[in-house]
Parts: sequence; structure tokens; C-alpha cells
Amino acid sequence: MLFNSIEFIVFFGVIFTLYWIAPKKWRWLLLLIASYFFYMSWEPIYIVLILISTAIDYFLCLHMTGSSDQRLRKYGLALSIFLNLGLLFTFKYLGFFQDLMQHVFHAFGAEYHASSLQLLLPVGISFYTFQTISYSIDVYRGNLPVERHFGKFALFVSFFPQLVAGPIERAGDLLPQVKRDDIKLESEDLRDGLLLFIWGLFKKVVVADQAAMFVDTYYASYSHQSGGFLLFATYMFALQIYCDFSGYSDMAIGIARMLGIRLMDNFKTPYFSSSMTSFWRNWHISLSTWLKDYLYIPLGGNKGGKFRTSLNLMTTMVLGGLWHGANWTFIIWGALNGFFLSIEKFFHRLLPERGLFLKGISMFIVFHLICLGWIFFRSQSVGQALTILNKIIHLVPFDLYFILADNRFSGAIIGALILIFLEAQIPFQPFTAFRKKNVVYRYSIYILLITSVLLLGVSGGAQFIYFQF
Amino acid sequence: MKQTLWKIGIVLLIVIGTDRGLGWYFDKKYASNHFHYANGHLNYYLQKVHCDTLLLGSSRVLDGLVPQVFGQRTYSIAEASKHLGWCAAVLDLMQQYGRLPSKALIINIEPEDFLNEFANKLKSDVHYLKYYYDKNPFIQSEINRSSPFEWVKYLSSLYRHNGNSLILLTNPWQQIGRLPTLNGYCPISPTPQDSVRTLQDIDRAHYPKPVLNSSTAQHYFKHIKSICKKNHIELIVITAPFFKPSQRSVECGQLMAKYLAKENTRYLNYIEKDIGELNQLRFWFDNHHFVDAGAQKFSVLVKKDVQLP
Repeated sequence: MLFNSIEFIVFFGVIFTLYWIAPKKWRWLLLLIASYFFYMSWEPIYIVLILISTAIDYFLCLHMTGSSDQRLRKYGLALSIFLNLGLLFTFKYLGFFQDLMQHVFHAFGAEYHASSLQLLLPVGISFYTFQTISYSIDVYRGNLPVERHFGKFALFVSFFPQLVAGPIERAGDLLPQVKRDDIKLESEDLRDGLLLFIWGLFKKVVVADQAAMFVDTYYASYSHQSGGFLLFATYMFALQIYCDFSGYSDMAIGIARMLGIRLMDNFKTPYFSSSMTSFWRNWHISLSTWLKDYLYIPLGGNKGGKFRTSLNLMTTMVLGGLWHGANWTFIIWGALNGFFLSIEKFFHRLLPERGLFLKGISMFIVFHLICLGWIFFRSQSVGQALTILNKIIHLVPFDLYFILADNRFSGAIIGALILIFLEAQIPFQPFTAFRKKNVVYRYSIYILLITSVLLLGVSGGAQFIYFQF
Repeated sequence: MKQTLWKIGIVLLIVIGTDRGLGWYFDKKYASNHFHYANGHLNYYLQKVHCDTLLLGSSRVLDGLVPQVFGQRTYSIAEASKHLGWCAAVLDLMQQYGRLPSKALIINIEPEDFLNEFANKLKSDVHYLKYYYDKNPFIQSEINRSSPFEWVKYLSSLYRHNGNSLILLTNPWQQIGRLPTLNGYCPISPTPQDSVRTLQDIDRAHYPKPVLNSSTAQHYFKHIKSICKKNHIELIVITAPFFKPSQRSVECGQLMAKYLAKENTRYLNYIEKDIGELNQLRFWFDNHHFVDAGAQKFSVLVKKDVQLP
């Protein structure tokens, strides 16, 4: 059940109505049932994994809190992390590591017989695993009181708006909200939630799904395509992945908001960043901050000199890349970004951020470095990425007219123009600043967004890119 | 809260007004569209053409069969990437509009359409005819099969033009796809890359033995067959050739032949038939599409084989 499907809108309409008319003390139960139903609409059996993950963290954290022995507490945390990552490894990385082992054994002239077990990747496993790990670590560190109500803890793990593709919420933010039974339907929440949902829907179905048609066509037939078209397809992918993922996040935040629950921001116009550091502060914020708090800082952060900082950055980004998928392309993507960040940290500031012109040049450079990474991210193999890169480097001038005049892609281009216009005007919070604009302007934009969704939106389009992670 | 609900209500009213107004505008645009994209050729056909023989299928018919080789009263309503579901719906529309061919229907069916994995593709092809949702009962019922709530989308007048609106607006500026002059045929001109592309596209992969048991494809095929039978139209199914077909294509073609024999339908399977001179690279754009010269030769071959009166 995708957010951009009519089934979801009907489902949410029912849940929204029941939620606000249900007795306050049972709302958590309604949300929990709705969340499990939502998740089971993909593959019912994988609800077992969420239940296992929930039970592991619930009981181990209770055990940690109940024990005064530091060693036992440490074992409890280690076991929680091991079991959670074990689930993730089994379902996401087993095939990849078996292939790797086969290559290593083969290189030494030995035989390695991989298991023929083929597991379907459970949707959202990387998201809820990281969410529960952060809970265990926070409880271990004493930053968070343990949750004793199993049902409410289960709701924290499985809260449907952010279950399958984030934002990866911290227990300290989400748990107190799902535990509250005095939430009232505020007009501001309803209005902003609805608007964020429409904004996210517009990004997904008008821009991302239309751009996807172009990207899929050209990346699938990359060997026949010229560098110019592949470069344009890469720009379109940058647009697609941003609108797909930030669109999902906006919809998730909007849905939660309509239920009176506030989720963290996940994107803050990242392509307007004039440094790599700034880009990573504004892109997939919930993952970036997770990696910073639970990996980069424990590794030593920037406290061990420039080389140590660079090493920590590289480690964090490579693991961040691997989090996205079991493929060398994601590892290289992470390494590339880690390398750019390290260079930037090493030389303090490489790119100027002051003055409109210089900032514009910096934004241009940062955007292209990010696009370089996207080539690996989007490609099926490293070989494909290198071929595409090679073609782009040996770019011959091409007639942009052919792309612009091809009306199969004009929808994405028009959608992108509306997006850039709105995001450039109202950075960070589209509808908070937006409310200050005059009424005619605001209503025109609402109508424009809804009409665009009806006329240009890809109906029954592809699922969200980040569901596969 | 009251004020917010009022505002939401006002926005909703404006949206409904805009939807109806723009819907009316795009309906007019659609009705006068005769460009290739956004079903313009189909529209033109439904409004202006009466033919003896109709050619139907995907791009392998669109740029692979030349209607005029079959005679001046032969017309092609083929469309790139459209398969059996689309063909069944189009034929139903023609029946409704009284534009069925008077003698024969030559339809290209890819045997792979009968694989279960293509069922969703066949169904989704019907959605390209969403303009006719409330005009044609067959199209409406096929679209409604995709989801129990699909009808909700059609409460909007604009949604029937979803995906076509920009094309309808920009068609007059397009250089390609103007009013059909070749009875619906779209020739492909040769390019220096053709032979490279054709050789690269040859499918050498090894697949498990195919099973052609898609109930969706059978449902669409039977619909086409029943329309032809009811209107005394001769139905001839063909499968256009491939440049060096894969083993899987050959196997699929053989299974298809068995199925169509059971259905008492004439079938010309060019995957296995000797296509003589057409085996030369110069006739191909890629391994499943002809360039114009190839299409001309292939059409002559098909005309000879079908032996229409």
C-alpha cells in the first residue's frame, strides 16, 4: 500500500476518522493495529520480523535497566545490536557476502558452495532496525528511560507513517508522543499535515515518477546512448531521488501531523547547499544524524586530528553506503561522498559560501560532485557506472532540443520548474513560510499542485526508491 | 478548527470548479487531436476511417507492416509498447463507434503476452484509454479490475486526461506524429548504429521453459475473437520475426501455435518461418524492429501468406 495510491487514501481516511473518535486511551492500540495492517499489505509473513525486533529490544532493554552490573548491561546492548544487525544481515546482505566469499575462495583456487536460499528483502527493514538499535543505545547510555508498556513500544517501532522509509525517529522524540493520550486535533496540524501530504504527493507523482521514465529508459540502454543524454539522465536522477524520497518524507510527516504526532524533518533543500558538509546536513537528515551520533562520534568524530577525522568520515560514509544496499555501487557511492567530505574537512573550506556569485559557483560544483555519486548509486553494477562516466567525460555536444521537445518528458520538466520555483522561494519549510503569503497566491499554488497531480501525476507509478533499502 | 474546515472546503470547491472547467477544455482538445501521441491516430480513425483490413499491434506493426502494401483500404492502428489488452479495448471501441474493418483483422501478438508475468502489463495498457472510461463499458470494467477504488479517480474530469494533457497542448509544435498520411504506418529510417544495435540486442540468455497460461491474455484474446466472429471479420494472428530469435522466443512461438490451433485461429509465426532475404542486417533497426526497407519486404511476405481476397 503506497502513500500515492487510492487504497492508502481510503485506508488513511478510515484510520483518521476512527483515531479522532476513539477513546483517547485506546488510540495507541488503533494505531498499532493500523501499522501492522499497513505493513502486512506488502508481505504478511514479514510482520514476524518486526515482532522479533520489537521483542528483542523491549526485553533486553528492560533487562539492561534492571541490572546494576555494568558488564551485564554491556552484554545486553551487544546482544541487542548483534541480533538486530543479524536480522538485517540475513535478509539484506547474505547473498552479497556469499558472492564475495565465492570470489575470494575462487581467487585462492578453493571452492565455496553458497547456500541457495533466496530471501525477499523485507520492506523497511533497514529503517526500523536502525530505529530500534538507537533506542537500545540510548537506554544503555542512560539518555532515555526504558519503555515498560510493550504495546506502546511496539507502536514506536512500527508507527506506519514512517515505518517503511523513515524518517528514522529517535525514541526520545517519538515515544513520548505515541504515549500521550491527551492529543487533540489542532487546526494547525490538520492544515499543515494536509498541505505537506499534497506537497509530497506532487513531488512523488509529478516530478519523481515522470523523471523516472526518462532515467529508466536511458540507464537501461546506456550502452546505446550518447554522453549528453546520459548526463541529462543523471541530472534527472538527482531530481528523481530527491523528489521521491523527500516526497515520501513530506507525506509521512504530513500524515503523522494529521494524527497529532510530529516527526523530524528529513530534507532541507539539499541541492541548494554550497558545501558537501552542508549537503549532508540537509539530505536524509534522520540517517545522517543517526550515523553521526551512533557511529561517527563513537569512532572518535573529529577529535583525533585531520587524518583520524578523515578515516572516521570515510568509515561512516562507506557504512552509510552499505546501509543503502548490498552492492559495490553503494559502497563506492559512500566512499566517494566520504572522500569529498574528508577533502573539505582537511582543507577547512574549499568552496566559498559568501557572495551570491561565488555561492552559486559552489552550489554548482557541489551539485555535480553529488551527481557523480548518483551515477554509481543508480547503476546496476560498477561496470555500468564506469561506462556511463566514460561516456559523459567524452561528451559530444548534443541537441538539447530533442530532449526538451520530446513531450514524454515535458511533464517532469514542468514539475521540476514548479518545484524549483517553490523551493527557491520558500526554503526549508514550504508551508510555514508559505502561510505568510497573500491568500490569492496561496490558493493558486494549492490549485496548481492538486491540478498537476491530477493531470501530470503518474498514476500507479513505481514504488518509492527507498523502500528497497 | 471551524475556520480551517471552511478553508479546506473553499479550496475543495475551487478544485472541483477547476477540474470541471479544465476537464471540459481538454475533452475538446482530445476530440480534435489527430496527432500520433495521446491516441490521436485512434481518434482520427474512429472519426474518419472505414477500412477493409485493419492492422493492430505494437511498434512491431507500427513500423513493421506497411498498410498500403495490403491495399489502399488497409489501415494500421498499432501503437508502440501496446499489447493484447490495448488491442482488445481498441477493437471494442471500434465496434462501439461502428468502425470495425469490413473484411479482416491482422493482429500481431507476442507469445510472451501469454506469460503470467506480463499480465499486469496487459492490464495497465488499457489505462492508456482512460478518456473512454465513462464512454465504453468494456474499458471501464477492465480499468476497474485494477483496484476496488479505481473508480474514485474518475470522479475527476481531469484524470481522464492524466498523462496526455501536455501532449494535447504541445502537439501543434511537434515535428513528428502529424496527421497520418501513410494509413497509420510510421517508417524507421536507417542509421549507422542499426547493425551494432541489432547484434547487441540478440538475446543469448538461457531461460527456463516458458509456460503460456496467462488467464488475462486469454481473456483479451477471447474478447478479440468474439468481436471478430460476431462481425464476420477474418482474424489472422501473426508474430513478427526477430533477427536471430532466442530459444525462448522459438519455444514461446511453438506454444502459441498450439494454443491458437486449439482456438481455431489462423496463425502465422514468423519467428520460425523462413524470412529469406530479411535475415540480412541491413533490414533491421534492432533485433525486433525493421527499418523501412525491411518493413516493405516483410509486408509483401505477409500479404502473400495471408492471401486476402
